[in-house]
Amino acid sequence: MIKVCRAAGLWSRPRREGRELTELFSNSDITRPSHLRCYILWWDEQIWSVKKTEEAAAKKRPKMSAAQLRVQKDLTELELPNTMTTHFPDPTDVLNFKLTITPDEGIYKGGVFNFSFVINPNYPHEPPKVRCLEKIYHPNLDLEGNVCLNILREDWKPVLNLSSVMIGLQYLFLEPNPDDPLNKEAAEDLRRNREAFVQNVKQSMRGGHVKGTTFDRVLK
Amino acid sequence: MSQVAVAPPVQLSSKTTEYLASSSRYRDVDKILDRRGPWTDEQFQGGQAAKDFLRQQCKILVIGAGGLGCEILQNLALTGFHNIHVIDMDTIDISNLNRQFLFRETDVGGSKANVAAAFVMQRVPGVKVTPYFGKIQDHPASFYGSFDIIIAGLDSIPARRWINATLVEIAEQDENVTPLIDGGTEGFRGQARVILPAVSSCYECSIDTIAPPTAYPICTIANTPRLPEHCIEWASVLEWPKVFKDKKLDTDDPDHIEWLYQRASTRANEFKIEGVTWALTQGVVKNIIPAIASTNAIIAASCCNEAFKLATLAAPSLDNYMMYSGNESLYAYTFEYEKRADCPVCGGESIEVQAEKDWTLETLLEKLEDRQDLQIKRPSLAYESGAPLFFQAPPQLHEATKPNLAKKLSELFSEDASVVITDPNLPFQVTVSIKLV
Amino acid sequence: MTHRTPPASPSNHRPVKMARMSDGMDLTDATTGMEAIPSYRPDAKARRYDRQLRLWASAGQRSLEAARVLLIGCDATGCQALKNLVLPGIAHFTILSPRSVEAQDVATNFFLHPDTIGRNIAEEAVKLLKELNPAVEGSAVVKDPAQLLQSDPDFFSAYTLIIASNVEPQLEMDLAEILWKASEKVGGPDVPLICIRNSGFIGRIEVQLREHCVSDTHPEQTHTLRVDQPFPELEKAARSLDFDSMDSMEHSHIPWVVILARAVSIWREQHGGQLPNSDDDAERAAFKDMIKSWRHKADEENFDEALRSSYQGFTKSELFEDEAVVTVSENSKNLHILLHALKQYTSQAPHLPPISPTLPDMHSSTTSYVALQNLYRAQFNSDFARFKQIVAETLGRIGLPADAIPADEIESFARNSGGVQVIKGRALKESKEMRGLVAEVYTNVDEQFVDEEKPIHLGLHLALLAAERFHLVTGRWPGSPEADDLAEENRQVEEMALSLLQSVVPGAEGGPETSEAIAEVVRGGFSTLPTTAAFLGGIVAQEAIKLVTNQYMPLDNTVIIDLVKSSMEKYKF
Repeated sequence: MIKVCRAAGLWSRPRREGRELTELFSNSDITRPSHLRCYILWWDEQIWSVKKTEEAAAKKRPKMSAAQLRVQKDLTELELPNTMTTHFPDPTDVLNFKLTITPDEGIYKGGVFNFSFVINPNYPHEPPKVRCLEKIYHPNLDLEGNVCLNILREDWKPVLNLSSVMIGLQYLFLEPNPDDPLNKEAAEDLRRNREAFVQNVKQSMRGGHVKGTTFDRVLK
Repeated sequence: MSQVAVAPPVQLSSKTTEYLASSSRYRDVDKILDRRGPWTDEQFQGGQAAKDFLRQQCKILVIGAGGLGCEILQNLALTGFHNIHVIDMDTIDISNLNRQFLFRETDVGGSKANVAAAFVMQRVPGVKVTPYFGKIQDHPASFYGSFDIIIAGLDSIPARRWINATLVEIAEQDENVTPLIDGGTEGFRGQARVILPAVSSCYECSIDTIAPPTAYPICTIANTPRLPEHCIEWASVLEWPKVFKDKKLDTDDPDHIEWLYQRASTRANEFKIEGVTWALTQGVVKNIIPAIASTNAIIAASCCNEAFKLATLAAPSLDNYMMYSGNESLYAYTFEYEKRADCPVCGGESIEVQAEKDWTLETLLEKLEDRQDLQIKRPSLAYESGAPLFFQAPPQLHEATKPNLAKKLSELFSEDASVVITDPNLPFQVTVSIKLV
Repeated sequence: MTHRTPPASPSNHRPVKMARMSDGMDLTDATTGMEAIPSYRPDAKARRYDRQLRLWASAGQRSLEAARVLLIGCDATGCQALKNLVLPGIAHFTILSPRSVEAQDVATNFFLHPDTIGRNIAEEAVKLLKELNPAVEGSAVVKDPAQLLQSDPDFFSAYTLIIASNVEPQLEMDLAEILWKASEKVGGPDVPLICIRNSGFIGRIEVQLREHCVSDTHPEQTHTLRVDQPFPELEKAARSLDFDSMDSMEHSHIPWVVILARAVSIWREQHGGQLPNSDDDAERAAFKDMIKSWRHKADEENFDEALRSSYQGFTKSELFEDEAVVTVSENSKNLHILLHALKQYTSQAPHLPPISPTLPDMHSSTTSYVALQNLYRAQFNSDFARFKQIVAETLGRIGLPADAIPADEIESFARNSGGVQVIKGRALKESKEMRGLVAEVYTNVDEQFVDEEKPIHLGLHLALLAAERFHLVTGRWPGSPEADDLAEENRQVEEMALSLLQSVVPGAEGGPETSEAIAEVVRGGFSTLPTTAAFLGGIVAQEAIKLVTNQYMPLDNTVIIDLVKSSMEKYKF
């Protein structure tokens, strides 16, 4: 517990049983500064000292923003499977990067999919902004690169991290969800006829047309 | 850069002059300052010392001259704070007038800080209010360090995070703890808290508990809209970028809102969804939070009550968070929000090391890993700017920064510098100030 | 939505439920198809009130704009309360005071200027308060409230609400008593009285009203969907669906209300018309298992929602009960007439109020959601027609014209009738005289807090009551002299506090917390700290708004505020 005091009589905290503040002061060698600067008393149940205060005051703060620090933690503790790699166009800027997913199983095996990550200074209060950089045929992605992943929007919580998002994205390629579609046609194809859907995916990944729409070639 | 408006000279009437000279005018507040209460701290000196500090010396800053800010300025002026400063980058809008009571219809378009300051000085003769029309980020840390107390009545989370981090930095570098009193409201609810930067929990300690802005599933917006909100988000999130490409949506531009409203209405008609209105469109895209005078009054009063207590010691201060809700009868909850050891702003550890210029980064890391008090095993390091210095992951950054390990410190830093270490084994970050010898 | 990640720890901030604002668009315009959509940009008034309309919507605003508020005791606290009512746009306020402005008034009250010292305080404060909102009327009555209460008691009952801020205890009691008596007879004026008392850091707000109806409480869960007793069309729709023949998308988008209504219907069929017994773990589990057995995949969100809401299937919808509205007359308030009609309405099967016409959002396709919404709306329309009929009959019977209650008021009442709450108030005089509930609270306080520290708020209330006694006897407030020696004042107040306490608990001793409470109250000397005034003024205005709009649950009936510790406690005395 903490007690802070200012010379002109600033800080206070509620009286505690058994230990009056005067007692604390009388036992101390604190001299009150004459000017209006704070000094801090640490109240640690029984003992208190100004020593800790000095340590605290000696702390040097980084200019780093809270968002950057969170991103540093998120990134350096990432344990990505070999199906995912990151690319930083500017390696000194950790807030803007690309994630490449190369699924090694499932319908999208053999494809290379790139997502842009833009993290704004309000991270992790706000989720990262993620878009697919290719035009692909997928029930949960639209032709503009929007991604329907719950934790990127309605279910984002500050306790989630970049790893949760990346794992979520990879899962989209392993288990596309046809029941809550973003690309309705693709979802309907998957529900109606899985085989035909698989053929469509192959066709689209080669840069071909599916039902009149041309998709980007994403093969390795 | 913000501008400081020059206050117009106030012509005082003889009655006002007489009033200002009368010592009895503060009779009410003086009762509290001349008397000790049962819960008053031993440190309370009361009497003239407390009055002098409050009325002559204390320099207080109000951040935000909006709903809370107007109330705060009023309360501070009446309580006896004399040297008040106020900063706000906004101009007055007609939708402010239902609660921002220092403004009138003729003030619409004017600077909130300037108008509010002039109003308070006119209404409460003798008080000095210095306005700053501009962004808080445009002022250096030293500006904020010059105040005895800061009260924030902000509606923006990024701005709160910024002032909080700035004050924690000042506290830790200059040993100058400037109390930050933060208020916020939403409908009939609000909270007030007292932050002693670097001492108590800070704003960032609680960032995880603040609900992110409302968002709807993108597939619902695209394909299964049910609510008018879904149609509005469809227009703003999916249609706007499709139609206007890189042109940014300006939610303050009525023509932009009109466009969204039209699109959303058309879509709602197609899906037989009722309830898309102009106001709802604006509310959804601007994330408008309902705001009323009475809630602002309660929260601002609590903030100013704490400022008064801090400045006079007349009563112990709030330790450290009060929530108020008038939604269902009324309810207040006061508690101590605990400091977070891993808070990216006020948490973490800090050490200073003497390092030889010829050491490689690897040598430095070895020395740090040897320290029993740190338990570093897989450290990642970044410069103060946030740029990676040596990252364990992801692989690209690991490869890109690995060569730094073999570099001499003198190649990496031109002078004494700080680096930030994170480690999966550490629940907090460590800031290392390196003194090159 | 697509893939779900396990939910994170719940956030302690929930978004505020916003009222849907009506900003001029008629529903028929919204559904006329592909014609050009008119703009309906909000006008200046809607823009001015935008941030509050998002809370209480146009219905609340209409009530506010009809409200006439009287302030007695033109002090800082009272004027702060008025400020917070003038800004959102009440119709009218009156300040009643014969006093002249003094320096100390100016020092604490933002709505007085030093240049006005010596003039009438009510007139001066009205001038500056009126500036806040050109739509609001304000007037000053330069009369002595106590005399006016004697000579013209009807003056007071002409207001929607009265605020008495730090007025003399005798006047406060007399006013409370007159208002309470006036509200006794059926259809008599029931004017809420809000009394404020503050001394330094300590404050108290008391609300007296005989009866108050909350037509919209704005609860977290807004909708009474009545899945435990699905109406015939809902039940039919729920039973007609063939879950197994649906494709996976269709199946995962059946609204949970339909799933639950179906489960209830089948359960009743199999259990002789009975619902699952909510006290029986096995029955509840069996009910849930039935729902689970219909799932096609483990992660269907609509089924998760149905399981989360399954308690609604075995929680019986309650019949609205209110004994007080048995008789109504042509003097009755609209709300009383509506409550009376509701009582009659629910006397017929299914003994429930009209159903909610709106649905919360749920995981479903647009078509099934809109279809379900149409079912509820159709049911509401038929319920509402019957309700309207009863209202019309009631109005006719008591001799009022058919349009005595505006159609939209009847409709908005009916829409929210599932959540109607009625508060039965108590006489302030009784609590001031330490009778009734307040006596019970003090009698039981020792048992209630055996091992814990007793809450300071009861001590503070006792101190305030004793100080009011002190004023009745001496004609002044304890702690009011400038002298700093307060020991004698404390002693006298403590004596009165003990005698009050002993009148309900013979032989009781106040204890240290009472002495401390008295010391803090006397220290304040019933002076006004501007911050305390603003704090109380904010709460009083919130409560006044709730009372005037009949929205949100108001305080019933006393809150004691300690701004030393920033805590408060409410009691029903």
